[in-house]
Amino acid sequence: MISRFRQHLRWLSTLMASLLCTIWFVCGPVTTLPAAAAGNGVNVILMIGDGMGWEMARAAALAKGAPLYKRGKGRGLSFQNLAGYSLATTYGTTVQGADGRFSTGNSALDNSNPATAASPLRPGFSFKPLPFNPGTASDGGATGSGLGNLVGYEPKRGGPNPWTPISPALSAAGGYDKEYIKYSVPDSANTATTLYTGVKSYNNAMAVDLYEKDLKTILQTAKDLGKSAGLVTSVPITHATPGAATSTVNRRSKYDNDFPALDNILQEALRQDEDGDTFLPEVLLGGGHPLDFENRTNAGPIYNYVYIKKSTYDELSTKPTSNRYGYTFLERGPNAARKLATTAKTIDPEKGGKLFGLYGARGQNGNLPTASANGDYSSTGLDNFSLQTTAVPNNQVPTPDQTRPLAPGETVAQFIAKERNENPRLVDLTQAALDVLGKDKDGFWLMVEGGDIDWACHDNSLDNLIGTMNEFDAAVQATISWIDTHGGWRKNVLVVSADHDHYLTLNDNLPDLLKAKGPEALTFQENKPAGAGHFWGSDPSIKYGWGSHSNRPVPVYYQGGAFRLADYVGKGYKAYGADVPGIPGLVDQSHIYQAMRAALTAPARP
Amino acid sequence: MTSTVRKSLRRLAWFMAGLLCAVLCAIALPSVWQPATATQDIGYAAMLEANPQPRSVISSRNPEFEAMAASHLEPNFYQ
Repeated sequence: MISRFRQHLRWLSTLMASLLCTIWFVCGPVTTLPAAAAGNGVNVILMIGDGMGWEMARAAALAKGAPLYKRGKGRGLSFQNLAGYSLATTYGTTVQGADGRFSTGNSALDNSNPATAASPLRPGFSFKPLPFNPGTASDGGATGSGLGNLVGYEPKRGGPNPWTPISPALSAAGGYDKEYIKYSVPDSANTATTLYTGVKSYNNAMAVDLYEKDLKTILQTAKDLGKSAGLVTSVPITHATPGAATSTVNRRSKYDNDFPALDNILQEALRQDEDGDTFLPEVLLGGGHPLDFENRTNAGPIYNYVYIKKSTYDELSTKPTSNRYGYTFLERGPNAARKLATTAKTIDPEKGGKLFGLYGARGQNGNLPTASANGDYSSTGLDNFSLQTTAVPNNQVPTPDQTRPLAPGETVAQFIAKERNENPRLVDLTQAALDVLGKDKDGFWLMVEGGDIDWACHDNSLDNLIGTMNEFDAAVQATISWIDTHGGWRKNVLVVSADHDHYLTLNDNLPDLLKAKGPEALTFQENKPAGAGHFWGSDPSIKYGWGSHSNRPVPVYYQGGAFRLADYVGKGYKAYGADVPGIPGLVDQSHIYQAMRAALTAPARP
Repeated sequence: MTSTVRKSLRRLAWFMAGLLCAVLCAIALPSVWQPATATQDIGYAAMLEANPQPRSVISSRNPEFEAMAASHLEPNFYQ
């Protein structure tokens, strides 16, 4: 009996072993995937100074009292203390239109249907990486056959780094072309797409490739790994730099549309894209509030719905904790910074909490209040685009905006005080984002943008440039302090860079002039480069000479974790299956994406 | 002796069969576990009909301003 039982027992044990194997194989993925998805717990923080090229950082450093430096990383700003430093190319693609002219704004589709990816391919188009095709104008301009579809960067024409040549006045002597960096300049949508996906695309592309096909953003990769994600900006939240992380659309001006429409930036961020892929950042904080956002008269309030549709705004503002998007919604209002900080403490991404804050000063294009260089917020409420735009047609004598949309009975001092009270600073937004995302034990990916730096540069406003740079640097410093107390550089990666450059040149006399006259006078009273200590564009005798971007490489400051950007210096990359050669001494923005992705997906350190 | 070998072979066959089942299930089932893709009627054609082209940007005598406005001050495509 015992012997028969033993025989059966043996059979039973074999059967049980088989069953166990079956369970392990079948259920293994279920039980082990979440553990793998929890990943390495690393946080990756990308801070983008929009338009913050080497010369913009130098202007802010000098304004802070740093000694004049003429090359390299420099010092004076908090991000200039980070251990890593490199320079990145920012160029995008250029495609020949039906008129035979290459344009950086063309995708490979013929644009006959405005919906994303709905147009047919341009007749005869096939991607050709080389030769680099910088063209002859800011938006392209080349004509002819045999030209490539990448703008590229040629150090022999533009200089091997941003400080060579240090002035267009020295360009010819060094064998460089002072006009070259004005050709085929990238925009913030194109460069953000490369930073978030590693793919080169056209001006206007929001996380879509040259064929308008959806790309997977680094934010989605982070979320696939079980991490949280956030976007913070000082300009409208549906603008290019934040928007390209959380939408896949073919035009950057597709800010929002009435629910349930998709193919627009905000609805895709808060819900899903047209293919059902989701973004759903746990934190979305920035500008774009409709109150008087573009009111250039002297009376408010007027609501103007550009960056957010009225229907979306009404849904969120009337149901701040029970809206269809599932976000806790905050907006500009009394004691905004304190309210944001208090709310951020209650939002837990581990429990599905998500925070959306919508801010923006009145009369200021939807941006956070402009601090100005001395921090007195004297530019708050004024149009961010009225200096260069009035100086150029007016023989270099600007007539900048002086009109704020005052509420009935409101004084200018009261206006400024109210805007400061009813809007958080970029540093407040950053701190709130870190408070929320830091609760996720799996880690997070966060993008913080000093977006108004770019707007100051477009306007050729040194005063606003230094002010917005100071605000951005304060946000960087707060992030560094947070990292120091939340796992240090082993757990955190911080990357500070620009999406593209502007054509600014600082004269050697700028530090003395800053001390003697101050940045406000150099911006609004001195209209010649000699007296202003700086100029914009390629002509050293004209102060307001260029209101657009440049194609010059931008600095990258970084530190922490497994972010190994140095490995990519001088290396090439793949573009649409083709090999693109590297440039000695430089990385490309696609490498920043690759290094970020590697840091997010690296095995956990013991 | 032969019987012992047969018994062991039988057990091995059972074990291999179980293992094979496990491998097949592991390969086949994850595709079943994929979350369903949400679909939504967006009324796209109606939307495009209402907004065929983006509005023109603010005009100016300054061509650089137009370039900048095209990127920074362009009205909402769906306005």
